[in-house]
Amino acid sequence: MLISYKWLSEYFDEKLPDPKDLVDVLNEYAFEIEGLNPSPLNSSDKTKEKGDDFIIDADVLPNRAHDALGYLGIAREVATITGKKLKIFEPKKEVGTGDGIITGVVLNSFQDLQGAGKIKLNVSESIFCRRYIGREISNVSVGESPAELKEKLESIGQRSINNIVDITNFVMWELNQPMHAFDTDKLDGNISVRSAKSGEKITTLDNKEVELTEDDNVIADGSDVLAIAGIKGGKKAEVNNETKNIILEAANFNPSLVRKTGNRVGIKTDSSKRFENEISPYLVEVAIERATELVLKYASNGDTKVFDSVEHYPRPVKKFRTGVSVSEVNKLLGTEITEVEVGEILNKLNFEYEVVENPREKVLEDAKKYLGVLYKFGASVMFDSPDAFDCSGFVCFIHAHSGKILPRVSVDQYVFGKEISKGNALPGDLVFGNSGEGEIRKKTLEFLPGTPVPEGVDHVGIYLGENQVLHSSRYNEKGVEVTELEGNKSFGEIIGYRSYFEDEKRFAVTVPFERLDVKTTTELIEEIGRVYGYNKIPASEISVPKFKDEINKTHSIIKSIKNILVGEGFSEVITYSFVEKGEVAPAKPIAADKAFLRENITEGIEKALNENLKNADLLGLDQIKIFEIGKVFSDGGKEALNLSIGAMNKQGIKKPKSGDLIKEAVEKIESGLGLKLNAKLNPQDEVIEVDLDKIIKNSDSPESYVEFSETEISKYKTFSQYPFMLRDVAVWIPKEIDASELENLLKENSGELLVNVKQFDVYEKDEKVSYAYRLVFQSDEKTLTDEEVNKIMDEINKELESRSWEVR
Amino acid sequence: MNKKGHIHPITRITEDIVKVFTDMGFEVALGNEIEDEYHNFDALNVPKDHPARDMQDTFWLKDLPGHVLRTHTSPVQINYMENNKPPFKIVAPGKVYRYEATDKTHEVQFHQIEGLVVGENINMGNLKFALDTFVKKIFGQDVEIRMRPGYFPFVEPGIELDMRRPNGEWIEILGAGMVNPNVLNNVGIDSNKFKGFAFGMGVDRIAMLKYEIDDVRGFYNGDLRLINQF
Repeated sequence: MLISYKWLSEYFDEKLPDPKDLVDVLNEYAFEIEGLNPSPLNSSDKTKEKGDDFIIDADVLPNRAHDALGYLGIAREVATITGKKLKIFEPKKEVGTGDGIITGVVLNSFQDLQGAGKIKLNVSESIFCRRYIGREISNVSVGESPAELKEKLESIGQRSINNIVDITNFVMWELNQPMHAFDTDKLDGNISVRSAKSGEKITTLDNKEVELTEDDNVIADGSDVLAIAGIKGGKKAEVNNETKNIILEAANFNPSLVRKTGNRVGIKTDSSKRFENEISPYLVEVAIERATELVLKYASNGDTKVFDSVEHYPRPVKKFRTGVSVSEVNKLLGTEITEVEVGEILNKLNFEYEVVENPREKVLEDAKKYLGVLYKFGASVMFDSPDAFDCSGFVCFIHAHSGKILPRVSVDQYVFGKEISKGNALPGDLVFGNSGEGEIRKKTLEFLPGTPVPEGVDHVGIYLGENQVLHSSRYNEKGVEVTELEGNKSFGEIIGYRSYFEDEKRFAVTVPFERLDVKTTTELIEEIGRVYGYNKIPASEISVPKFKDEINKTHSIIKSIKNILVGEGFSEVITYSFVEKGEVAPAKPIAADKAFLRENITEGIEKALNENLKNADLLGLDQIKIFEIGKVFSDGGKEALNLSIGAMNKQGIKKPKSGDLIKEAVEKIESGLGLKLNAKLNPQDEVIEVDLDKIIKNSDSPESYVEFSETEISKYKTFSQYPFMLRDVAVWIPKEIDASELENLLKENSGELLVNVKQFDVYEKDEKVSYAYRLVFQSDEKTLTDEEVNKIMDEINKELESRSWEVR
Repeated sequence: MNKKGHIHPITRITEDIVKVFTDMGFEVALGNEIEDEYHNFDALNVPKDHPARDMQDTFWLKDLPGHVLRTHTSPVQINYMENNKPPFKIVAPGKVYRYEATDKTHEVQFHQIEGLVVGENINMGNLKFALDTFVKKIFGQDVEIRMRPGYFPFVEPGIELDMRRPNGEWIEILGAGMVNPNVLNNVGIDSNKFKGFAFGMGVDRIAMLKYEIDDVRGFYNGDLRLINQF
């Protein structure tokens, strides 16, 4: 999410921290900031007075995509974590359902609505389209956008098209609500939101022709598709400089349906991204009003008229209620945050809250307010309350007002609560029953799903004491009622009592519409924790008794085998699981030579042996000895753990034979671990492979893990990609002199280009010993020439001569 | 004279890291590289059609519907929880696969280590302690860490852990958080009673940081010019 510092600052009454400081605060409390760069619009001419802008690149992840992919959401976050005051937009007039002020921004509403426009709206897909508002504005002046609008869009890489299109784009970036505008005069009839007909086509605004299916949803007029809903608009009703009358559209679409269509047609836009991540339908009305305000500001004239909006909003959302207690906060975070501090943090977040001193009492008080409310089986807590409830939905609703989140269905609530006896049950606790009629659940649905409740539960109510219960039931005369408990038809057999309250206050929190990421108590604790500051959490040792301490047999044996092989001079390699042929394949391979999963490790080992052999001298080795332990894959997705050991001799080295080396290694493993590898061995073998699964299964578990021996890793040196050159030199030195002196001479006189020196022969005669060395020269920067290496050999020879040591 | 061979640097650092945790009483858990969608995604609170699935590019398998090459070692944790009751502490190393363009810092196969602790009184302070211990043992006693907000569907709160390099620069090391109650509930662990923390790190990345290796592809071509330096 690209944030222009200048644009963001406009939402504040005070100066923001400097960009660098703001970035640090955002990183620490809110989002990962991936970049801070000067705005592409900054003037390179230092004499111009134009203020420099900076672009902050914030990594807004799916959990904050609901609110923070828009400037107001970011501004709210910045206000929370810096304490800087947010501006309220002038003029003041409230809009929206209920008390709808979105995060402190109050918008215009219009005095001169002209009544209904000529276009009607028909939404046939309510699962897809949760809300739609269209507003006609006639006699607009379409033209170039004013500088202040253009600048904002261009600073974040958006292209300016014309004032109307730019306004819709701007509102998306400001409110995180995508918008669209249609040219009214290009429409044939009314607007509908419907599923596409199979094969229906649209030419998008960027001239791409797309064919649609019945699984896709569109905005259409009487004859054509106008837009792939939520994703991309079409050319037909495009707003251009000739347009006189427009329809502004803001809507809310089902996230997974938008995503499916986007994947299928291969189009992803800033708009579809926002719908896919889900946004609150509340934003729709705010966006329409904001866009209207801007049209009147930037694209109107004396004849401009604004009409009533047409709306489809069958299920208005309500603000979500959640809650937490101070002890719950501190239990999860490991902190000692006080009640006062929690309140302060909630204020910073602009989350409304109530401190419920006695949740149990409040449950009883609140429940009584809803006496007489209709019963409706399966009533939605979000959409139908408080006009209709079912038994468990009522219980959920009431408890949420006390800051306690309960599961949705009665059988889950039964398992979720703390069991208490009838004698200990207090007013405010819940009582559960099995009416014996209809669907009785015997397993939980969502909480610890599948937990058996053989006694069966299908009803719940709030216990009032003295054989009275307050509950919503189809058998009650008036939905929510106080009735007798014993013998009540809805309760049938009374199954048990459950308690939900510890003796403590709770914060009952009303979450702002756009914060779809804060629903559960845990999500609320996360908000509190991050604003409090994770770096304030003290580190503490895990204070529970030692957990069981078992050795993982497979891991231990693998480690032991590796240790033994390394002791025998074999080095461990890890090769690719993807190879050229095999039985199991990825649906989309990354390359032709990596189109299958390996059936064996042998082929990879052979390849590695050959490749490494080329560098044997560089490595100072007479033979390459390697092994790998890893998974191989066969038909049907079966996988097995295999060990492969390989050995290959350098040209001219006859002994030991590779097969013997491998045989020895196998024997060492077998004796070291007391198991049989069942490897088939031949002296000519260069590679063997065995299946370890069965062997591991049939062996005993070791008592502890072996330790690899320490190594001295001097800093890793990137090796050169240039070819190396070899020189052999054999020198007679007096017997008394140690070979290391000769070796040092060779090293000192060769300089940096000598990357390896290895003694390969010793021959004694009379009082002298001949030592033969292979010298390996290599440069990090280029391919060495014979001349260069010869020069070094000349230096060496000179030095040898000066000591009277004869070269053989 | 038998010269010793060399343990692969990925194995070496994996074992060093595993040891930091086994010394704290953690158990090692291993698992298959081919997993089903449920254990790789759904059980980790990453449902179908959720944008969070875009956070990991996946190798789906041909002719094996609903199966993937695991994109992280988290499925090992789910399998473990399905078969063991809390409290427990496990660490799960292993090879994982992501469908990504290969370059100096990205390979289609790499290694991860994940950890999981579930108990009655586990909290975020415990997580911090475990991670601080790990960073200091692997990178040195005067290395600083910081936790900042992050997001992974299977933890709540989610954090990113940074460590401070000698030159003062902060660098991201791993992701972690408190186990999302949905994840616990789905495997039959009562999230009212038990809390947990989890962490996950890319071993290749840690090896590159610690050993100052600049190209991840060098780990998988069997080249002894790299391996024999360790």
